Amino acid sequence: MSAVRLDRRGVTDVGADVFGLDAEASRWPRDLAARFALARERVQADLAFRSSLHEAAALASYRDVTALGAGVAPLLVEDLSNEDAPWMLWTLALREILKDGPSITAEDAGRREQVVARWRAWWGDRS
Amino acid sequence: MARVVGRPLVSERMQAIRNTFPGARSLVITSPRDVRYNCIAHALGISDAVWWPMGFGDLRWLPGWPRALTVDNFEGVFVGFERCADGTHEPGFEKIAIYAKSKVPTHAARQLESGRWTSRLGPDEDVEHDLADLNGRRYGQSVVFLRRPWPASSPPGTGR
Repeated sequence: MSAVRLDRRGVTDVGADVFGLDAEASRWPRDLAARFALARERVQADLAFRSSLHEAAALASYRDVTALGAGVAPLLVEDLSNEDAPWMLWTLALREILKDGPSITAEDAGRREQVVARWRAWWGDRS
Repeated sequence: MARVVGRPLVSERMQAIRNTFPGARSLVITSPRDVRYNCIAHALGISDAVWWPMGFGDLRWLPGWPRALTVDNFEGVFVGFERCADGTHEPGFEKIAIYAKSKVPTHAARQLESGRWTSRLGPDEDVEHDLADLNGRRYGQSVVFLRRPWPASSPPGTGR
């Protein structure tokens, strides 16, 4: 076997060296839930102290979430109930992915509890 | 040197804030992370809604007001305020500062009666600060200032 290679982060890429996998692919979990968990962590890090949601939605971490496609929708809906979830980005991602979503009244707009309840009810009716 | 208050992890949070805003010299955390409101809401005196001109109606904005991401649109959300020259403390007036990068709004802060400013840092902590503390790569610079006479009782945004 060839000498151990280091990837760009200086981490030994066992997947690439031992199993002959593409280095990038071997770092990106195959399981959707694990991929979402990783992307969520990056979104949270990128969102820290960031006021502009337009900026946040333009970042690669957010794009990684929407790139997961329709399969990630139930995970996003489930995560909306977590108090630390970036719900304002998840509802945006859901609308981007599904091209659909609940109507939110002007009175409820922006209010986490009400918006999350509307999304969960809408998702339940849809499923 | 920034002061540190309260909870056990505040020093870690202060370090994270300093990493993001390296120019901060007098910033103090005044409340913990809370995803239920954001900087615009906080500047309006609201703590139960996220205000931002996006989200297909999931997020709040001034009813009927354009959702374009411009400083003029952000300025219009602060109903009852008028433009003023700068963020200098003027007793009897409450002020709002709108931050922008390349003319794109990024943040808003509200002046306290003391002359210091209060901000919500995205979905994270509320802080008390000097105007220049938040200048830098994250928010750009404070570019537009608004003022109104201090209301007799209510904070801005009450009743909307």
